[in-house]
Parts: sequence; structure tokens; C-alpha cells
Amino acid sequence: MDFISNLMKGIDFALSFTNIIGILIGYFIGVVVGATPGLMATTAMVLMLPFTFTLDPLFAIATLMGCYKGGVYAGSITGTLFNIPGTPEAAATALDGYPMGQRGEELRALEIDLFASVIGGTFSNLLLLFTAAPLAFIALKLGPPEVAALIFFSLTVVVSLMGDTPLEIWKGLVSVGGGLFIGMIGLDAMTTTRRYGFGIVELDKGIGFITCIIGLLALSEVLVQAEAITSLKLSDRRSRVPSKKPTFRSRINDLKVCAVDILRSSLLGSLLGALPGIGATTAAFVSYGEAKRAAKNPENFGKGDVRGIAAPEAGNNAVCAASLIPLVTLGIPGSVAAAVLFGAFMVQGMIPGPMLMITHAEFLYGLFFLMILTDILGGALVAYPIIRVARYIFRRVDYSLLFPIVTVFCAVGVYAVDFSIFDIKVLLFLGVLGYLMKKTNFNIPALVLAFILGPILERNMRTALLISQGNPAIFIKSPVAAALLILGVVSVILSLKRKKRKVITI
Amino acid sequence: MKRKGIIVAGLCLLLIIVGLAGIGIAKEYPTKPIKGIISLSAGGTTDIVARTLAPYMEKYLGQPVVLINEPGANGTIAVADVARRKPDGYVFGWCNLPTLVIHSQMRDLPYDPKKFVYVASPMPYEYIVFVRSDAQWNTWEEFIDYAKKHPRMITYGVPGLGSTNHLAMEYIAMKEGIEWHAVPFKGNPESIAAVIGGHVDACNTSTTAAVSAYQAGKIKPLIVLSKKRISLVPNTPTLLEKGYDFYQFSCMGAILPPGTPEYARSKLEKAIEYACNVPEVKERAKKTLFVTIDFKNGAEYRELAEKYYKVWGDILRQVGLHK
Amino acid sequence: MKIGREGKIALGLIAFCLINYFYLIPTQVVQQGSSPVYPLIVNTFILVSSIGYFYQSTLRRKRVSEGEEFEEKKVSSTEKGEKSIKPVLRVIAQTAFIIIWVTVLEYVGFLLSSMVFLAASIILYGSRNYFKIITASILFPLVIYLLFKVVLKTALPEGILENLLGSVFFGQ
Repeated sequence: MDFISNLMKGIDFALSFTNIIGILIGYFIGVVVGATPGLMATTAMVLMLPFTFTLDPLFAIATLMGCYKGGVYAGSITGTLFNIPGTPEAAATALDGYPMGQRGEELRALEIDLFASVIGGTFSNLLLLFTAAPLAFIALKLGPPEVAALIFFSLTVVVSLMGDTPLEIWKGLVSVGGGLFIGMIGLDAMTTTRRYGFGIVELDKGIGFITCIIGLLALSEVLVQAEAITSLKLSDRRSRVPSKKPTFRSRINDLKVCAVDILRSSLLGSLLGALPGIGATTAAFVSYGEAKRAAKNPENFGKGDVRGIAAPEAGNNAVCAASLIPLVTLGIPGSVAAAVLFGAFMVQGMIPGPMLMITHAEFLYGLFFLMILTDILGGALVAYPIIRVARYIFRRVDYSLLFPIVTVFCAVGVYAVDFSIFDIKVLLFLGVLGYLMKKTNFNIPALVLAFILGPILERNMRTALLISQGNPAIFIKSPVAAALLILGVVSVILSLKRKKRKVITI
Repeated sequence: MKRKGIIVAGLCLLLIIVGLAGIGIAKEYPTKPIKGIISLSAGGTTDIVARTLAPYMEKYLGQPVVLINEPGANGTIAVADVARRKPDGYVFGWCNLPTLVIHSQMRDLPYDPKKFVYVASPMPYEYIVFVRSDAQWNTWEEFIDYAKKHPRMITYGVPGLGSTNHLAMEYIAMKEGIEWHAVPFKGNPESIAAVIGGHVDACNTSTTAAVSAYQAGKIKPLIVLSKKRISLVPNTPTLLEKGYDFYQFSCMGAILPPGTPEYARSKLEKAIEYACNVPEVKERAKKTLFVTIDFKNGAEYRELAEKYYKVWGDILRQVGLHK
Repeated sequence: MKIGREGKIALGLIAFCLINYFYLIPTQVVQQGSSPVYPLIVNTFILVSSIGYFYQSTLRRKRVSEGEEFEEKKVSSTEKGEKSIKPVLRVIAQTAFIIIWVTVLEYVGFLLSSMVFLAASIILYGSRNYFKIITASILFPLVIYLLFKVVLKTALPEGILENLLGSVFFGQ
């Protein structure tokens, strides 16, 4: 009963007109920034934080949270329409969203994006509300060896489920290796010694996360389009493909088709989100992979399948609320966004950690309640009108203006992180690399995911070995780690074998 | 001829405008937001104190202070980053003492700690060794005794190899003739979580990071490593009381890239001093963060760094980690 | 045995791994004082997958030559059929534009360089509507610049145009 009374108090505390306006403003900023290729919602949060110092605590944190949620959702809009994911996690959505949009069903794709996001987000909000403590306990029990094994498993899932032929799987593995390699550049995070510095001091910091994402996912597409634009004449193609509007019945049907996938992804996203550092991108790709594995006709994936849109979107939006679990229960921020929220809590005089639930229960429950409202109200009042606008732009925009402008956005977005011209040069290098990878059909999402997870994998691997004093048996001694490692290896071998047989039967 | 005159006149006008614009830009520092790089992970003591001071520094400076965390290798990653920045006063670093005095004696670093511009130090850290609340040891003696009987069995979490947390534990090990080993985490919050999760046996952490976990009853203190007892755990004795001739000292401080002009340094120094003297900050530091605000200006901070360069250098030699 | 395009890429990757083993890791990792263990693991992983990739690509080519599979032919026909030199030149030109833009950005300032860059690349992307080109390339950088200057209070690289603007509108 304690829980219910706390919840009621929290709702009472949080429910005010200004707070609701706050989350909508935050959500709006998040959606606009997140949907703009090259700009990241987390950057916006970092820059917004100082302005919230003087605001009412709940209003400030709810606004930032709204921005975070809006940003995570909105990456899929440009991913679907232009194959330029605004966020790394939206790269998974774009795999099916973009083909569907190119068929003239962009409104259908955008609506599924939104529905899946709202459902995934809400699911995870409720999970946070009811089961934060047990989830935090699970997260605590996963030590360095388990986390390293989990990352290994996630990478193998992406490789084995996103390739259809053995050749693609081998290429996927090479891409993963490339991502791990790029992630190594810079100072060794445990000893501050240089790795692959080539005498360039600016490389000490490593390749920036945002630089890498924008270069490989957005700028590469700009270059691909520079080539495609003459041979295909995009303006003609737009008039050639008639727009298909979803009807009420088709919407219900779509939801029915992917209901199971949305639920599975929401759960997966919530679990992965609760682990510090693993994050939305992993959740999106693992959800995508699992949906493909479960499907009866997996060959439709990558060609504009509704489930391929719904699963990653539900998964990555479920991470938002779940990433607060380690923050409010352990005091460990699991992502850049969570670190910003930590700062917001701090400034308001609350230290996130196990005591927060006890000392500021009313505040926390109020925040959770506002988060539920964010997904539902933000989705209906902010995101829905915005996808209409985005679709209008998609139909009307002059592509010859769009891509140069996107290029400027990419450069400015990267520059804004550190005010360094060198980063823009790295961005260009990665953009060209991404272009070459696209031309030779390498697996860019696998590379991006490996780049994001590589440093975490390395740190946990080395920490595990330090705990065991150099004995690699620690990875097998832990049943969870061993199971994940074996599953990972088996899934790659099976996918190589299975696909081989298929080729032979052709 | 007339046209030429107009062109010349136009060019002159343009030059004047550009010139005036150039003068106009030289307003008083700071004219744009200042970026603060926090060298340790979010949720750690340094982070929390830096974020507590930030709003008041902002008030004094009249510009936003944008804080970002760049944890890694006990803060040296971030300090190396500060060293590379443009010395215009718009980027500063919040760092711990080891990045300036210890790591350079252990291995070659990509920066020279003596070249930094020392701004100020708002407070010293205070350290406690914690174990899980259901652990078999209740006192320091029991813990040491167990460690002696089980060599190489005890693992403890620290926020980085070469941190004072690490060196203090190694110093104790040397004095007691025990063997245990350090596991470096990204920061104190992570090492406390590893203790709670049972992945390491103990951790040596600064106070603020541990407040929440301690108050929630998840961890229990064994000993205080700083000079004086700490109000968070008033009943836990210090190393000095137990007869060791040693206490662990490090302080938090702000640094600017080498070559930053004095006007920026003194302005930031005053901003930190102002923030340290705000009653609300003092109140919060005492009651919720459990740290002792003890403002030291740039010169004192540098002196402190020089003093402890020798102290920790000796300890490094004794435990065999000096390069 | 003929080695196709895929095979060549694989050989390139294997060569990279060998360079990494014998040159990069010793000079760029070990000499810098870093532990080579993790780089070695990653490099071995890339090497193994590259060898697998090479094996698979030559295997697949063999099948293609035996006429068992027509998938690759289809791919190559669409790719090669339309591949004139011009589209690739566009990519190279766009890359070159970005390089020039980034290089002069610091010296000329954001506004002027971006305006020229935008105008040039919009033309490259095929628009010939000069009204659109001029309005877009002047307005867009201005909006971005003002967003940074006024809302975020941080400055993009400044040059002549920015100073002029500052003196006229902000009275600085």
C-alpha cells in the first residue's frame, strides 16, 4: 500500500499545467533536434542543462527527460524518409523504414514508428514504475565478465541475423572488427598511453562518438545520393511513386501483425536499458534481430516489413525509461543522457542512488508519472503533427537543396560538440569510408554498434581479467557469461551453415 | 575619376566598420559559455561537487558553465584533453591531484602537469574503505587478518590504477605484509556498485559517491583513510588512530590549459571562491555531500601539488610503482 | 582461379591486418607504452573474418562461373550497366568541396565559406533554379549562425562577414 500512496502523492505533486507544458516543450525540442540529421538530442540536453539550474526541479528534469525521449524517437523520422538516421539506434529502423517509404508508404512507416515508440516507451515506463528494484538487482549481479559476454553476444546477434548469405555474414564480421578497431584509436582508457595515434595529438581523445555516427550514417548517405541523383533523378521518382495513405483498417492490421514483436522488443529494450552503458543502439539491433528470427518469412526483412520497423523502435524507446533504473537505484548513469539527468538531479540537491527512492519518493513517482504522460501526450500532440510536416517536406523537398544543407548540418553538429575543426575532418574521412562501405555492401550498422560497444567490451574484459588475476577461465566460470559466449558462437556458426545449405539448394 | 573616389571611400568605410567590429568584440571575459571538463565519472565525488558549485559560478561569471564528464584512467584522459585545448579561458578542467602529481611519476603521459595554469582547489577529498554490509568482516583488524591468511584472495575496487585510493591500499599492504590486488573501475560509483554486486570484496572511495549506498544500508565502513574522522561515519576510526604513520590526501582542483592568460584564471578563481562561500553550498556540502569545503587559491593549490608530488613520489618508490 | 572484386577487397583487408601485426602494433601501440593484448585480439579477429570472407568470395565466384547462381550477375549488371564516369565524379567533387570548405572555414569564417559551399554543391546536385540557389545558400547559414550566436551564445568560426554583421546588428 505504501507504493500506491506514494504513487498517488507523486501524481498529485506532478500534475500541473506548467509541468505538462514543460514535457511537451522538451519533447518538441528533442523531436526537432533528433530529426535533424547531424544534430543529436543528447548534445541539446548538455547545452540545455545550465539553463535549467534556476527552474523548478521537477519541471527541469521532466523537460530534459522529454527532450531525451523525443530525440530517441525522432531519429527514425529522417531514417525512414531519407535513409539518414538522426540517431544510431534509428539505423535499425531505417533498414525497413526506408524501403517502405520508397514504395510510397512513408506515412504508414512513420505511423508505425510512432506507435511502436509510444508503446515501447510506455511499457518501459510502467516497468520502471513497478520493477525498478528487481531490475537493478539483476543489473548489479552482472559483473565485468558477464557484461563483456553480453556485448560479444549482441555483436554476434547483429552479424548473424542481418546477413542472409555466408558472404554477408563474413562481411558483417569484418565490419564488427573494423568498428572495434576504430574504437581503439586514441588514449588507452586504463593507462593513458597512445594507441594508433600516428603522431596526431587531436586523435588522443579518440574518434568522437557523434562524429562517427554522423559520418558513417548521415554523411555517407549524402555522398551516395550525390552519385544516385543523376541516374535516378529523384524528383521524377517522387512523382512516379504515388503516395499510399493507410486506412483505419490497415493500421489495425499492422498493429496486429507486429503486436508480439512490439511486446518482445519492449521487454528486451527494458532489460538492456537497465544495464549501464549498453544503450539504445544495442537494444534496437537485438530487437530487430530477434523479430527476424521469430518471423516465419524472414526474407521480407530489409525490404520494408512492418515488423522490421516496429521491433527496433519499440526496443530503443524502451531503453529511455529503463536507463533511469541504474541512475535512480544505484547512482550510476548508464548513458550520456542519463549523465545529464544526473547533473540535473544534482543541481537540484538530490543525489541519485538507492536513497533517492526513500528520501524523494514523491518526486520520483511524480517524475515517472510525467514520463508516462510524455510518451502519450508527446506522441499525440507533438510527434503526430510533426510527422505530417515531415511527410510534406519529403514529398515537396528539392533534393538538390536538401543534401547540401544536410552536409552543413552534419559539420555544424560535429563542430558544436567540441568546437574543433579537426573533428569535421574526421567526419569527412568517416563519411567517405561509409560511402565506400555502402558501395561494397559492408555492414555499416554492425560497424557502428561495434564502435559504440568496443570500448565497453575492452574495459570489462580487462577488468574481468584483473579480478581473476589474468586467468581467462573467469569467462567460463560464470554460468551467465559462459552461456552468452556459447550462444554467440553457435549463432554465428549456425547462420553460416544454414545459409550455406540454402545456397546449395538453389 | 569620380567613380574611383566612391570605391575608395566605400573601401575605407568597410575597413572602418570591420575595424570597429574588431574593437567591439573585445568585451570583458567571459563573453560566452565556459566548458568544464570533469575528469571523473558522473556520480562521483568530483562530479557532484563540481555540479553543486556550477550554478553559483554561473551567477558570478554571468555565463553558463557547461559541464561534461570524460572519465578514464583515473582522470588522466580528461586532463590530457584539457592540455590540448585552446588557452582562451573557455575550457577548464576539474581534476584530482593524482593526475597532476602521481601519474607523471609512474609512466610517460601525453602532458606535462607542471605547465598547467592552476586555478583553485575547493576541497580535499576524504576516503573510506567500504565492504558489503553482509560481509564477514566488521572491523579493520578482522579484514587485515583475513587478508594475511588468504594472500591474493582479496580484491578491492579503485577509480583507477595510480589513484591515491590504489596507492594507499598498496602502502597498507606493504606495511602489513599482505598481498591483495586492485581492480580499476571507471569511477567510484562503479567500484561501489561492484562491491554491492559482489564482484570485488572492498573499495576505497571518497565520501560523496558512497553517501547514498551507505545510508541505504548496502555497504559498511571499515576504516577512514584521511587525516580526520568523517561526519558521515563518525564511529569509524582513522588509520592514524590505528597507529599507522600514514593518511591519504588528494584534493579536487580546477586547471586551465597551459598558457591561459591571468585575467581568465583570476576570474575563474574568484568564481570558485564565490561559490564556495555561498551559505547554501556550505550547508549542502556538510549535510548531504559530507565533504569539507576548504578553498585554496591558485598559488596555494600549486604549493599543495608540489608538496604532495614528493609525498606520493616517496610512496610510489616504496610500493615499487615509480617509473 | 580468378579473384573478383570481393576477393580483392578481402586480400586488401588481409594485407591491412598483416601491416597491423608487423608495423602498426609495434610502432603505434607497443612503442607508445600501451598493452598490445586487446589490439592483437581485435586484429586476429579481423584477420580470421577476412580470410573467411576471402574463402567465401572465391567459393562463390566458382559457383557463378559454373552457372549455379545468377545472383551476382544481376548485381553486377545493374551496377555496371549504369555506371558511367560522371556520377562517381560527382561524389569526388562533393568530397573535394567539403575538403575546401573545411580548410578555409577557420580563416574566412562560417558565413562566407558556407554560403559559397552551399551554392556550389546545390549546383552540383543538379539544381539550376538560381533564385532557389541564392536564397537557400544565403539564408540557411545565416539562420544557423544566429541560432548559435543568439540562442546558444556560442560562436561558429568567425570572419569578415560575421564581424560586419556583429557591428551592424549587435552594436558590438
